[in-house]
Amino acid sequence: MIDLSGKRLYMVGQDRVMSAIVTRMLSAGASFQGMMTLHPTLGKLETDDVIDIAVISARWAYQGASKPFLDTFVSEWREGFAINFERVVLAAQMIAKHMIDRQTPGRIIIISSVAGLKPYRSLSVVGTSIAALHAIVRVAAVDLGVHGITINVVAMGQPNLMQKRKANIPDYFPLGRELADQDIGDLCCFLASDAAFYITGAIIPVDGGYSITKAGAATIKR
Amino acid sequence: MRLAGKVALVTGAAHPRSIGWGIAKALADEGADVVINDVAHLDELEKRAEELRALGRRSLAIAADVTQPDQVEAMIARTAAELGHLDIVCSNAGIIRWEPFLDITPKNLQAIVNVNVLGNVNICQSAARQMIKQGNGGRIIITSSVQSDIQFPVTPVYGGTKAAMHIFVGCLALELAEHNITVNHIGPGYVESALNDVSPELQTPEAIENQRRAVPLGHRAGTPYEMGRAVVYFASSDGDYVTGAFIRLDGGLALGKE
Repeated sequence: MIDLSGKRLYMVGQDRVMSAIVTRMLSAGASFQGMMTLHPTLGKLETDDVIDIAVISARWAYQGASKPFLDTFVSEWREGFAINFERVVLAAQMIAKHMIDRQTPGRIIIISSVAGLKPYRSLSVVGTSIAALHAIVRVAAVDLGVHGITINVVAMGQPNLMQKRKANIPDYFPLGRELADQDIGDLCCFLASDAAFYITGAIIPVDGGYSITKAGAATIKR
Repeated sequence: MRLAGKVALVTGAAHPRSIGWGIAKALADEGADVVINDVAHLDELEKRAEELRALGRRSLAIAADVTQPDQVEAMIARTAAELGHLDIVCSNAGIIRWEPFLDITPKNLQAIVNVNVLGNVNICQSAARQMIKQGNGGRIIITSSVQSDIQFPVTPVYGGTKAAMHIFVGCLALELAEHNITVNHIGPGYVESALNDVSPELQTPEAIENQRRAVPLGHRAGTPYEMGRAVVYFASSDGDYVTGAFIRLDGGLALGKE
């Protein structure tokens, strides 16, 4: 059983998955320290207290995020990069400085998408912005290591399939079922725990095997 | 002359020591007519076009900011109008800032994204639309970096935008394949190009020599022209079956120290 008692948790960004992560971490004994927004703008930390665990959501997807490259607007690229990349980088930097100032060997966990791991048709904005983020996390991990701070990424898979494909779940998810928010919360808890002390700069897909299937690529096709 | 009759556009090609100019020269040496573009060093831009014309090629020097979609569109339209068509696009313009992770400023963060990502988006969209209209396929080659594969601590944002090109190029390759447009990218390593002139790490002869020694192959920097030769591969019939690919051009730098 993972024990996070005494750990103070801070969240950046808010959505259903983030709520599930908080619930899971609180049940493991963590205490909720606060949160700030990422969208529409990057908020302020507004806490002087120690932060042991920070979870940042890089899960921007505009209305109809799945569209062919030639149909995308520059405004969508601007917004996608602003939210998935620029604000996440600045939030992680802000939190890292907060941890360094207080000499906290903290844990920074970023929630992203497997769209940043391989190219998917019609997901160029999300995939490109997330890939940029993944790269910078590895650099950050090197620089933060000397402060005892780890930074890792949980790359979420496809949450669920279209109704007509439900009969073929094993083709898409070798592990036999669709992604549950709990799956993300579980890895976050592990990464936040003492057991994960030696892990940093890692990009870990939690997708039931989705991103390593051929069918996984096919779901994104129009 | 593997590119005779082809029309190419190269962005970021004004400076005589730029990778863009190395690419333009290599394409022209294979017979292509080459439009060169830049937003800086504009006094140099027309000189480069003259050098290409001296080789017997047609050339246009077009000043345009790749971060501005309307300027990019006008540049592509002018290329097609004056040179007849557009077959090869080298989206090469890029910027770099030396700021480690904890020192990244919002201003530079956005500036790098604007050029290194949105610039490629604008060029690739306009160029692909033109190529689709022509109906004969086309070649898109993006200049990324050795930092697509290994990122350096002094330039994390630059490295991030370059690593992102693996996914960007892959997505475009998938989506534009049906139009017979190939999309590939090259990864220059240590090139003694104008981009590195202000590198805080390369300001002394000793530092430059150390950087050269870190390159396993020949202990030397790559040349812009060598980058251009790989672009010729993607652009010529040799590259007919190649899309979504990356060629690291770094003398083995990314492999690590010997």
